[in-house]
Amino acid sequence: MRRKMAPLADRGRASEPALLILISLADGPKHGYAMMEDVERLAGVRLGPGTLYGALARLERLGLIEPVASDDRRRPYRLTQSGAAVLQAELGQLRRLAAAGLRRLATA
Amino acid sequence: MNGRWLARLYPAAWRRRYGEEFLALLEALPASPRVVLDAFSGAIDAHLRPQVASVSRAEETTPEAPLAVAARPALAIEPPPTPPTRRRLTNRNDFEGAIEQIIREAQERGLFDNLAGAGKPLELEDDSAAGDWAMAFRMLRSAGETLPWIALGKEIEADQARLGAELERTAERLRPLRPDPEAHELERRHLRERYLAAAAALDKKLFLYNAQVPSFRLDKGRLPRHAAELRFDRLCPPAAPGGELQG
Repeated sequence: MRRKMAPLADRGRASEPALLILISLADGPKHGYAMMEDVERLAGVRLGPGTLYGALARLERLGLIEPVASDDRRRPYRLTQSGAAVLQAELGQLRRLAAAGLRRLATA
Repeated sequence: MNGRWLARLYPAAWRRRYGEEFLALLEALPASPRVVLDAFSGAIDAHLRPQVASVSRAEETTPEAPLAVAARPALAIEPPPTPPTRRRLTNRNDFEGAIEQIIREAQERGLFDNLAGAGKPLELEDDSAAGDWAMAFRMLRSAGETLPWIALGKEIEADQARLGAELERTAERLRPLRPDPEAHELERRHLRERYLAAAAALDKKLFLYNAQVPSFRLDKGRLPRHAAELRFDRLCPPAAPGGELQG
C-alpha cells in the first residue's frame, strides 16, 4: 500500500524489491543472502532482510518463484515459468518506457 | 546477528514457513540499526498483510493469476484480490493490537534501547514551519508535557482576551458622561493607567515569547505603549475637547 502511494521520484521502478528479486533469479537459483548481494551489485540497492522476505513471500504466493529442495538452512529459490513470463513482460515494458524517454530527449 | 527474537515478531504461520531460513539470513547479517529496523517493519507488514497462503490457498493458485498480473502495469506485483478464505486483520482493534504486541515484544527484548537518542528528550530544535510544531505539541501534550514557549503563548492569548474584555468594560463604564467633567477625566486617567500597566506586562511576555519561539513565523505582534495608548483612547476618548485636565 505504502509502496504504491510513494511518489515515483523516491521509489523508482528499478528499486522495486520484487522486480529486483526476479531479475536476480533470472540467471539461476539463489538463497536470500546471495540475492541481497546480487541486487546490491546490480542495482546499488541494499535490500533489508524484512523487505527481502516480504517480497519473497509475496512472489512465492503468486507462484512467480518457488523454493528449491536443499539441505542448507538457507533455502534457495528459483523462477517459475510464470515468474519468467512476468519478468519478461515487466522488462519489456520498462524497455519501451526507457526507449520512449530517450527518444523524447533526443528530439527535444 | 542472532535474530531469534526478531523472527519471533513475525506471525506464527509466517514463521512456520520462513522462520528457519530467515534466521539463517539474519545470522549472516550485522546487527545494524538498518537491518534490525527493516526486519522489524517486515514483521509489521507480515501481520498487517499476511503473505503466507493457507494450505488450501496454495493449491488453488491458478497459473492465470500471475499472468493476469503481467498484463497490468509494473509496480503491481501485489497479491490478487483477497479471497474470502484469507486471514485478514479486518478491524481497527486487530490492527492496533498487532502493532502494540509487536512493539511490546520488541521493547521487552530491548530493541529500542540502543537507538540513537534513546533516553534523551526528543530533539525538537528543528526550525521548520509552525505546522510541524503543532504535531510536536500534540505529542508532548499527550505525554503530559509542554514546551515553555507554548505554555507562554497560551498564557499570552488568555491575557490578550482578558485585556480586550477589560477595555470594553472600561469603555462601557466611561460612556455615560458624568455631571462633573473633571471627575470623569480623573477616573478615565486612572483607568487608562491601569490599562497601560496591564498592556506593559503583556508586552513584556510578548517580548519573552518572541525570544523563545523556534521560528520567526511564530512571532506574535508586540503591544508597545504608544499602541496601547492609541487603543485605549480610541475606545475611551477624553470627555470633550476642553475637558482634559491640565498638567
